[in-house]
Amino acid sequence: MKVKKIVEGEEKEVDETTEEKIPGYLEAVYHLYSMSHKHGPVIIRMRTADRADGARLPSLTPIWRSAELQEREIFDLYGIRFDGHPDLRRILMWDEFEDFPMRKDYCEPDDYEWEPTPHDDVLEKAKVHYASRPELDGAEALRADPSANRDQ
Amino acid sequence: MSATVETIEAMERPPVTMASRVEGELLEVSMGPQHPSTHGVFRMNVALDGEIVRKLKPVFGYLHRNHEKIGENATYLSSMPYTDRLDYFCSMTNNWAYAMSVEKLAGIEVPERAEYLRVILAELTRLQNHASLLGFLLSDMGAWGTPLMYAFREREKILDLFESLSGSRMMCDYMRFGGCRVDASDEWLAVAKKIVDRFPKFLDEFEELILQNEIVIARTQNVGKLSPELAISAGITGPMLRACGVNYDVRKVDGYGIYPRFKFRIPLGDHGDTYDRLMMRALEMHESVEILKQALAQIPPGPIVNPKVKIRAFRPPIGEAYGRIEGPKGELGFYLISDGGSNPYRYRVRPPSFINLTVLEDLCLGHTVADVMVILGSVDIVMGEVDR
Repeated sequence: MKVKKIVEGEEKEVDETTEEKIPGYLEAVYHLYSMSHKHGPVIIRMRTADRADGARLPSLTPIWRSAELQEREIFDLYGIRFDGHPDLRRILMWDEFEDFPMRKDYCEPDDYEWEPTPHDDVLEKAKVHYASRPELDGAEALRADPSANRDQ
Repeated sequence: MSATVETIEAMERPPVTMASRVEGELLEVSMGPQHPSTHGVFRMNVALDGEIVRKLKPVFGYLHRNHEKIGENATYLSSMPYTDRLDYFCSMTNNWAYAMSVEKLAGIEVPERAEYLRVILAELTRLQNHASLLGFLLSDMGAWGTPLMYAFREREKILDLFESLSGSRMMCDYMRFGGCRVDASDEWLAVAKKIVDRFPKFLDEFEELILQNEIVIARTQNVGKLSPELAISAGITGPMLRACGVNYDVRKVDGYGIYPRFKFRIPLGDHGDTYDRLMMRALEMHESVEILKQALAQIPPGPIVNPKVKIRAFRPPIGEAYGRIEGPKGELGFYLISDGGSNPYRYRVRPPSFINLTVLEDLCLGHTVADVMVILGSVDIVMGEVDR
């Protein structure tokens, strides 16, 4: 948009782009079938406020037990938190897993079995042990220990 | 040497704890994931008071490969072989459910002969699934081997049929959008008719040997009772729901495919216990045989696939569809959202055996450890579908 601004001492009309972020959302779709009326589906759609801390929806588990495992699965794979769910834990992924793999922006790790090598404070602690270890190679150990070459 | 040990300690590994520990009066036991009666890799954390189950938490995910993400990254047609791997006992019904939701999404008509072939193959799948379930359930109860082999003898005949038609015994990959992949020859139909006609003989023999057996009755009656109210609230479907006396069968309710043309009854249970669930399978097999006899007599000649369906560059219009069928284990549905591209934007499976496990704890509470296995067997799960 065109705005008036003071640039280098004089007033000029310049183009300015303002960035406005519209938060994304996650949508949960419920298909409800009536078993007694043999009627359906009634479709309910609920959207979360955003994709981060506001990814929350009310839980349907207190009304229908059917939602219990399915809401846990959605929490696990999409990261929507269901308020009022009695037992909201990861279900298919392991508990230590941190991301939400079904989201479209999920990036696969290069190596699933990656484990940090010892670093920083771990190495500091290890240094103590290495320092106290005698600087001997195998041959010296043999010479120092007379019982080792008794057979010769 | 001691230095190495201390280095490991310095890395602060979590201490190794014992899986089972006594906490107050309850003993926590982890059942599975490697157990012959858990039908795959399924674990239950059970809190026991003596031998009585006081708490049970199922643990899922050992076979998880994110089937839905794979489905979103593959074209519509290339997901078809993956659906075989969901419930690997019933690949034909999985194919049908998926093909049906894509047909709903793209508005594809299916020719008459293909509809008949689908019904025939789905009901054959139901026969072999229920027969092997009864065999597995009896092995869970301690009748190890023999009843299972009786059931597998019949299952093998049906799998031979599948193999001669589709080229594979279990991973059939047979349905296509708007029809089926290969036509059934007259010889194939004649062999199928022969097998179907002989099937009631096996059923009568099996029922006489097993279903009136005193030990089976003692182990199953009044074990794992499920009330109809809880079953409806928990979204239980399939034979497990009908064992509670709730008359709900998608074949009748939706009348999908050409099911309204056939005369068949829906068996209903009374008590909702394990014995009723077992009987439900036996009775459903009789009805499946009835459907098969009618379908094999009526099947018309004609094309087996809609020629208008594009195989390459298949792009359904923007929209969403939920297609569901009555699978042998319950309502199997596929929910697809299309953004107009060649891959589905969202690909969701409604797995019946996963949702039927919601009430596993309610069924098992107050029963012994040995009953847990029988109850789990009667729920009829396949881990390929539960974990996806």
